[in-house]
Amino acid sequence: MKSTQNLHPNKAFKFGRGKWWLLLLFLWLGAANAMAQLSVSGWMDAGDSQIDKNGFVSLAGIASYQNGLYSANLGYSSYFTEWRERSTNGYKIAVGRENTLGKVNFQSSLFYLRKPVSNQMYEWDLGLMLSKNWSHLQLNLGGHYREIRLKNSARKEFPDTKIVENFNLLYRLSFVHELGTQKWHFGATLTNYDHFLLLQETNPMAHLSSQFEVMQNLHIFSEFWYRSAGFNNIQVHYYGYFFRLGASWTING
Amino acid sequence: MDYQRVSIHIFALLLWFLATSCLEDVDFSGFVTNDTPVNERFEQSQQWNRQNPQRTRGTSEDSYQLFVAADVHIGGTRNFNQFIHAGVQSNVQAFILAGDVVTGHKHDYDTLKNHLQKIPSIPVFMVTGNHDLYFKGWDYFYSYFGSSTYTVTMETPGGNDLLIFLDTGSGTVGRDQLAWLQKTLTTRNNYRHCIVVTHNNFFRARHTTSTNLQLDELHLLLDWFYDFKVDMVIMGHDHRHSIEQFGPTTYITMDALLDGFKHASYLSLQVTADGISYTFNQL
Repeated sequence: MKSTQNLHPNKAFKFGRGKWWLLLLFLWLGAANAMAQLSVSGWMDAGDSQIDKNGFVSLAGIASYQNGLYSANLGYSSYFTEWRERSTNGYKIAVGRENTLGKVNFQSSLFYLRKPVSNQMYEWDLGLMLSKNWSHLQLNLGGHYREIRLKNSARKEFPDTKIVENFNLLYRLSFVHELGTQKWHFGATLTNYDHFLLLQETNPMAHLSSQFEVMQNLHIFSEFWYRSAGFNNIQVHYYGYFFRLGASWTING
Repeated sequence: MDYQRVSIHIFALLLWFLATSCLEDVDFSGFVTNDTPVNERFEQSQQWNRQNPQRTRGTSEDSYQLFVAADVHIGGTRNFNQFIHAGVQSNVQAFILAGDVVTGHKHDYDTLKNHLQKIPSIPVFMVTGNHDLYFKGWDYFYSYFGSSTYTVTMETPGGNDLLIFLDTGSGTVGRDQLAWLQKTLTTRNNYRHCIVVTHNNFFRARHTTSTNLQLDELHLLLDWFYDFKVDMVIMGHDHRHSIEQFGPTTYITMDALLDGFKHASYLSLQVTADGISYTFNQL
């Protein structure tokens, strides 16, 4: 039986060799094709929640590669808080396509997310997302399949043990407004997911955002997120909040 | 159909919904506010625990039986009476109510209190669900039944069992209760078996409009229950039973015992030195 202290060992941050190769592949793809567009986004979250004794800090980044109608994304997130056994919060890979149906243009993407929960269990998700932008409105709708599983070492003792959610609806509705010079954008969003967090449809989150165009290929953004618990139980309760500060840079395009 | 007519129809539908459906037993202020936040309820529960003796129940044999029900939603008491009657006949060591025991109204708390006074020889252990908190229901729960976060020790000649009761009426365990739970789980080694009872179901076995725990909180609880070899977690809220096995832990979501509910059932737990077995008893 583990003691209280042993539940929270300080794990060193590790970025494995496989992930470096993937990152290099992305950079090569971007550089090798003049038609391609490569961009990177990085951000830091800081906040608090009911499960964080002294708050948390999270660092994350996504590299995106776009060539014509097609795109691919690779993401990584780390999360630092007292209770976590692992600093890695998730890896994500997504492929997308620009589509036209009649006169309607929309984007579709297929993604895979893996989240190490602890030293003995992890979550993986597979999902599909459809996105449509209007002048002031952005709507994302999708769904995903989730499994929470034991790792191989633990599975020897408890084979075939997993928790499955066959389908969760994913939604994001954003209102975005530009200020006169178009350098500033402000938005308000209702959603049940973030890049590395896919909540069930009955756990909505809200966030306010702003974005500033520093240069044509460089933007900085900030967001304030609010999370509640028990909303659909008609017993709503504060769960957490966080601030996000980040930048996105289009390397070529 | 023009925009104005659509708006009138939607408004009329909303009015009809507000005026006719379920509203007597649902406190809609809960969409925007919470009378007593979970950390505050936990603090009051701890205060009650300090002022009252530790809850224990002794048995003369290594094996014993517990009867468990969830989502009784008193008002109606027909199913609840059957449950109690069956338990008395089976000579159970305790009754367990996994939340949403009443509708939150004072008169329903009074009904529950009166029923429980008829069975003074068998203890009833309960936790709050979201419905128990409607209409400032926590005030009645606390004044009638005390704590909603506590442990019960079942003492047998062959060893003691630990029952942990968690308040998830607000859809979250909450920071302070989590710290208490972690500390409580570190004593797990001193017990033969460990059962956790709470209201909000952990897993979304089917699509309903109700809210489950937040995912990161669920991850943490799964990890702890795995680490500390919790034998069983009993939950309600979803109204339809489901069973999941994850590592050493069996997670049981209960049927509702609500009057008029087609699938109403309760759970009988047979606890022995070797383990815990369970049976759903349909009403």
